[in-house]
Amino acid sequence: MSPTLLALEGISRSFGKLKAVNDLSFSVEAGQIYGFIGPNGSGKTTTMRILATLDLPDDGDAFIHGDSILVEPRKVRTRIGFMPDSFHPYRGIDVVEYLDFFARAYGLRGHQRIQTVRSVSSFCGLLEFKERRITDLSKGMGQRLHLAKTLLHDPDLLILDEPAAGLDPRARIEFRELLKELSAHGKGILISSHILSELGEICDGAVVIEKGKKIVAGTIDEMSRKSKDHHRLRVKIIEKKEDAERFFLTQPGVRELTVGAEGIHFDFEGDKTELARLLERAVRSGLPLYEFHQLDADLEEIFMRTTEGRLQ
Amino acid sequence: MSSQDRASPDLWVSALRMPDQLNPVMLRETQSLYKGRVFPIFLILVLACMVLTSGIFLFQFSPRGATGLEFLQVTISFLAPILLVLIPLQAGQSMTQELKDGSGSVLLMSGLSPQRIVAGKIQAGLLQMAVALGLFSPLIAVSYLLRGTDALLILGIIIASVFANLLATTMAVAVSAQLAALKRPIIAALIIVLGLGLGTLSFLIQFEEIIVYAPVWTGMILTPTGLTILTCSYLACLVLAWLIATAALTHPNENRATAFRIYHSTVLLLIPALVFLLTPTKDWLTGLVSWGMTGAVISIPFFFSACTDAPGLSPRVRAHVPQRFPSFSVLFLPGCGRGLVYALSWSLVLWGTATLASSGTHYLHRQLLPYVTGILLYTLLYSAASCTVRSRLPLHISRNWITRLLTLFLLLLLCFVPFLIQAPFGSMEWNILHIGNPFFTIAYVGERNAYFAFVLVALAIVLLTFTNRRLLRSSWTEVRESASAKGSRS
Ligand SMILES: Nc1ncnc2c1ncn2[C@@H]1O[C@H](COP(=O)(O)OP(=O)(O)O)[C@@H](O)[C@H]1O
Ligand SMILES: [Mg+2]
Repeated sequence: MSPTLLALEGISRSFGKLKAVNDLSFSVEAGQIYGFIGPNGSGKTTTMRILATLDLPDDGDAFIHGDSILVEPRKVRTRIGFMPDSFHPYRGIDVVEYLDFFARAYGLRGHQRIQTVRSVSSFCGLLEFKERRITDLSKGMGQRLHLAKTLLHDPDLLILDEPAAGLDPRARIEFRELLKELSAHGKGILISSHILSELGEICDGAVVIEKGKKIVAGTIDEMSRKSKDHHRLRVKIIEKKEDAERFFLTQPGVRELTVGAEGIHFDFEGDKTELARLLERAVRSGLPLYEFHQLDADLEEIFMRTTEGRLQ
Repeated sequence: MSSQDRASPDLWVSALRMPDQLNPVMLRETQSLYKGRVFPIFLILVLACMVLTSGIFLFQFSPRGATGLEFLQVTISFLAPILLVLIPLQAGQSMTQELKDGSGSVLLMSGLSPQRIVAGKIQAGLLQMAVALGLFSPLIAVSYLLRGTDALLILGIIIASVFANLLATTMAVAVSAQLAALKRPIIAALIIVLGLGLGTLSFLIQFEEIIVYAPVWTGMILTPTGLTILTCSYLACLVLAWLIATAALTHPNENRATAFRIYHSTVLLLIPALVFLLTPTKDWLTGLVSWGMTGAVISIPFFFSACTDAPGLSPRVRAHVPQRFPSFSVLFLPGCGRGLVYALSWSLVLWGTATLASSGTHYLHRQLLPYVTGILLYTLLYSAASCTVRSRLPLHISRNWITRLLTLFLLLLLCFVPFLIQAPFGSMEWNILHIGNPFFTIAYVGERNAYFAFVLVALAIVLLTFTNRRLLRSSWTEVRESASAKGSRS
């Protein structure tokens, strides 16, 4: 079995007294889209720059296919495509010249270079803009161009720092589709954002950080399991809605109850046995329940729950 | 257009057809230059200069009595700022742009080495120089046709400007690369304009003298000795500027110090080699005198930065410590402890030479020992002080520049405070309080042969070195252990 695509082991980085990244560990597998989520200033960019070998951690190490970013930075660099959060576009050159420049920089030669530039710009939907100056591109097109550039050397891992920031919804959806396709091709993608809904749908896993510290991490499944003592439930009832509301409100562990047309929603704190007992009591008390449904936790919910009260 | 695309996919767009061997940075630089706004401005400027040259010439000098030499002078006074200020400045600016925001990081992530990036910038500058020279060539030709100059002089000036342009461009790129992180890139531009502008101005002011004394100059320079010394010093400057430029682009976990220490050692070894090669035996002693002096002086910045490095080895450097001669490589690997060892070793060599050479009879020989000793002792003292400060600062603030600034501040304090203390007593004589002031003390020792002052400094160095003994020892063992760990791994 080949080693994990990306594994962080206790990365820390301080600027003065500020601990920008504090003992951060998580891992990303090939073919995964992994969300890196945290509010502004939580240390996402700092971590990504360290992973891209552009900065040094004070402590800890990270491994790409088992190679340390500290010991073998050159080898690691060939396997990473890094897309920083800001660019200074080169003036006066067009899309093809820009991609050609980076293809040359990555050491592609002759026919291979031309083919790569062509296929990458076609993949990213840039063919029709190929002779447009890069300073004249729209924000969405610019992001696609930068994505195209990070794909030129066929990296195994893409590190994308807030790629969707400032994109309109349409461009955002198109960009998301590109990422899905890339992960289907087996590339691992680490993508950061401070807006959760951007990532919820496409991520296989995520790590949530705040003030440089990991709050929760894992695949969406794992995280849902981890929060197994915390259930969001929907109950549907034929009649006696008020009785049911009163009943559930008096039960231990029930919180945030709302009554709507679709039934009664509430949070329940407790493990499976307690949940079973709750159901038993509800049925015993004569409520005509016809649905007792546990809603899947999505990323947004996990985020809100884990960072509860700590975010402004 | 699109049908043509399908017909010849390989010849897709002209940019893609450029040969693979070209430096990508140079190619992109040239593409954006010729398509962007800068090039038309450059062209207009050069053309305006040419018109002005001819205009001034027609106004100032009556065409009949005018000579080619005067015409050449006017031409050069327009060409020189373009070659020595404008083009280097442009290269420097583009280096600043290159490293701005995220683009710089992306460029460094690609396979392009810092050396190739710097080379690309310089090549683009050379290309612009070729364009400028080409545009000016009619004027230069006219100056030849007007008589009064010879082809050799014109050729010499052209060759000199090509080499001067190369050096100026490299230095501008180095300054910009080092200062790219500044919030205001205009500062780098100002430094470059000021430095190169002053150089060019003084060259132009001296131009007449240079031409008048051209026979003397060529007589001095066009000898084997003259050419060797000129070439060596030119190369030394060029390589240093190059190292400074590439060091700014080197990744944080790659090795920056080694290149500088090897450079410094090479230059120090090259000087006596040249002395023995080029001068007759009777002048060797004088040659060694100059070596001791220049060696001591050029070592100051090297020792100083060697001793202010981060204390340990980065993981990457540790993984690449040469397995053979680990003890020897201690001298060349980064780290302030190793920097101190390096400075101590070279100081001993230079001081030993000065002692040998002081037996001579020339007045230089007698002056030499106090000066070289003084320079070396004080450089060592402040380097050891930096090393001490550096290794004791908390990890997160122990950046090199903080240490350097702190040490300079210490030097300033030790220079001025004793005068302030003395002022109420009305005496401005040297006394023991001035021991921290290198300038005053060296002058005093030179005058009075008061070597006890140096003994005190030497004692201070020994004390500081002793204070740093754990750092020195751990530096040493770190390198040895890395080398043996590597041996057991492979
Ligand atoms: N070069 C630096 N010097 C000092 N502080 C920095 C530097 N880079 C980042 N920081 C600080 O580290 C923290 C994390 O920043 P960053 O990684 O950019 O957060 P994010 O990308 O999650 O918004 C911030 O408080 C920021 O001010
Ligand atoms: Mg950020």
